[in-house]
Amino acid sequence: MTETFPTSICLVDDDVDFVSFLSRYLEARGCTVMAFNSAEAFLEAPEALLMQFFLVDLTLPGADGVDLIGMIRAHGNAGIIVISGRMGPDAFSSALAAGADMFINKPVRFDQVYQAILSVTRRIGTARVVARNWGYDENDGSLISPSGNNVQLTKTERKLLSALLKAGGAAVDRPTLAKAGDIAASKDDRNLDAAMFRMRRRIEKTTREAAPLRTIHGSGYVAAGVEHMPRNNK
Amino acid sequence: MGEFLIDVTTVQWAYFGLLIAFTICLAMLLPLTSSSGLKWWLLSNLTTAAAMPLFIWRPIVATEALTFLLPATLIVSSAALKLLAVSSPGLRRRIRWPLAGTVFAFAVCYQILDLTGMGTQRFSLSAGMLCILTAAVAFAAKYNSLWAGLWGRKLLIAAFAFSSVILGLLFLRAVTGGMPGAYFSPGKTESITFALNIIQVIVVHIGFIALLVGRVSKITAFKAARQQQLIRGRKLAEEHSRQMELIAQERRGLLDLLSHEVRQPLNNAQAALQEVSRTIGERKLQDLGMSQPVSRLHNTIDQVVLALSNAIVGTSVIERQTDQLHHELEITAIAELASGDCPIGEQPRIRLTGLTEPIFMQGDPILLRLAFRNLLDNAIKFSAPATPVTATVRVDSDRFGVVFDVFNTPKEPFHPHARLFERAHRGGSQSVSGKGLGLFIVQEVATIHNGTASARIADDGRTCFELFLPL
Repeated sequence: MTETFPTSICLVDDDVDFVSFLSRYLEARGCTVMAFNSAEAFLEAPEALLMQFFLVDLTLPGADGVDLIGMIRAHGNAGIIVISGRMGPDAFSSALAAGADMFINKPVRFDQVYQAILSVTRRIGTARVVARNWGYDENDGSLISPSGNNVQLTKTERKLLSALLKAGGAAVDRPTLAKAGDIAASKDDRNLDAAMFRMRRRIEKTTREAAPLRTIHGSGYVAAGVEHMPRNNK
Repeated sequence: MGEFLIDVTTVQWAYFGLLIAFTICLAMLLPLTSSSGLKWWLLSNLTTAAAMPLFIWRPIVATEALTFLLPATLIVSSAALKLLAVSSPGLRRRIRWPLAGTVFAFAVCYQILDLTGMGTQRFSLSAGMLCILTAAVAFAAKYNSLWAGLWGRKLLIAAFAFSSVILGLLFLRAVTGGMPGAYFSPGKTESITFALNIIQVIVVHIGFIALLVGRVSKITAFKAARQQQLIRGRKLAEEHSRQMELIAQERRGLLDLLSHEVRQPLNNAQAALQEVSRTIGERKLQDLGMSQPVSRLHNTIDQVVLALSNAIVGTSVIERQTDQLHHELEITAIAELASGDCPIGEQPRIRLTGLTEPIFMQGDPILLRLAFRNLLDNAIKFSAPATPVTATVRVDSDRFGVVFDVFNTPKEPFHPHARLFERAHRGGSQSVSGKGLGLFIVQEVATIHNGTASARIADDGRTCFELFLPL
């Protein structure tokens, strides 16, 4: 087992056979596994919340899987992967909104589950910092990720991010943003798109987290979930 | 020379009053109908009404040109306006300017006759002109299709036809020199003619009002019928909508069945098979000669899962995804999952590269996983045996997006074309089975994510299928 793989995993799924086989697979990989067939059974074992990683089904008898994910997320920052047979967009939307890190639809092979756990763990670490928002310090132009990673923005990037934050979560159209960033006008605002693209990539490469910037196709950009620390307010 | 049966001035004022009264009545009908014929008719009445005082106050023996010209021209204009009023809209458009020209020509001729002292001929001209115009009114009323089936039309035609005959007789009498040269002159015959004229005015207006009322009733009935039709149509649409919802519910039920009742057991079968393989161990399976059957079983389950996923996604998820892409996902993890979905027996051939750093984007993980899986499956199906299938996830800095491309060595010559991504297109190969849904789903998923799907021949001669997704 690699060093980034969690040592304890909690499995909540009402499919007894799947739980049984997957538990044995994970145990064979050296993990301690606690398995439950319902949310109620999970709640009766408080020590389950101390596990490093959670694999949760959405369709559970009694309490819904989404509620369970919300509860686990409220308790801590362990990795959560949803493994569900539900395919509709509402399924993964609600699961991710509740705090899950990844959604995998069944059928799924055990090695895929293993790879998914590795991927999530690599991304968020086994001891994620409790921070839900990004932070932007205008005094030194640094952007701090929810996990505490710091990215130093360039002069143009600072201007762009400031303009986006000034909009208070609303979309900013391309011409306005290009003007704010002192970016020369170009055909189809390509210079601006290139600057935004580079900024996103640099943030994501450095922090290994999704940048808090969104492209509104055919319109502009938006920054969401960033706490702004204005100049001289440090 | 005969005597008046009734005082001429009294009759003229009565005629004037009658006209005004009918004009007011007709004007009150204006809010009820959008008929432009009514407006022309009112204008005609007002023109006649304007002519009446000129007739009344004119000296018994007048020689000034305007004393005769103006009222006579107004009367002829009034008849022309009546003709426009009863004509169909199309005919009205065609004749209005020729009619104006005719009235003008009449005025010119009348003035010439007046200046040359030909008083009898002057009256013949106006009587003849009125006779022709009145007959034309009767014909126009007969051929106005908008008034078809309305009883007032017959009354109108009869009244104008009768009036035309009277005017014709006056014309003949004037031509033969049997008249003094004016409408309102003393004499028994003139008085009878004028009385008939008043009756004609009454009958014509009754006929016209009957026509208007009939037309309004007809339109109201038509609107009511159309309203009924709309209500019936809406009811039918609601019924259709209910039936569609029922069908959609049945389809959702079927999809749930496929999702839970079929996919779930498949998941368990796959899990059990993996457990069996893991417990027994690959070497022992080979010793038992079970390695190949187990691998085949894995492949079968994988193919069934892919076919089911394509069917479900192809018929439902894609249709309702377009506005629900609000979640961050990490694309390399999705690519790894998709690669893991491929049959175990084929996995040694798959080389997944470019996973060194996370790439985040907004999208639907289920759809993207299925699209990647289909691209890999397509490459495996159409590649020469034992040749590698290389999949790469890379950031495209020129297009500001991420590219997932899959390279394979085709077993048959490959010719890329746009139809490859159409539904039920099977790539032209007879040796490969399938429903032709895979690449179609890739195309749909690309579209949903504002991206593109394409195929080309790479520089090294291999086939390359590319899915581009903007970041």
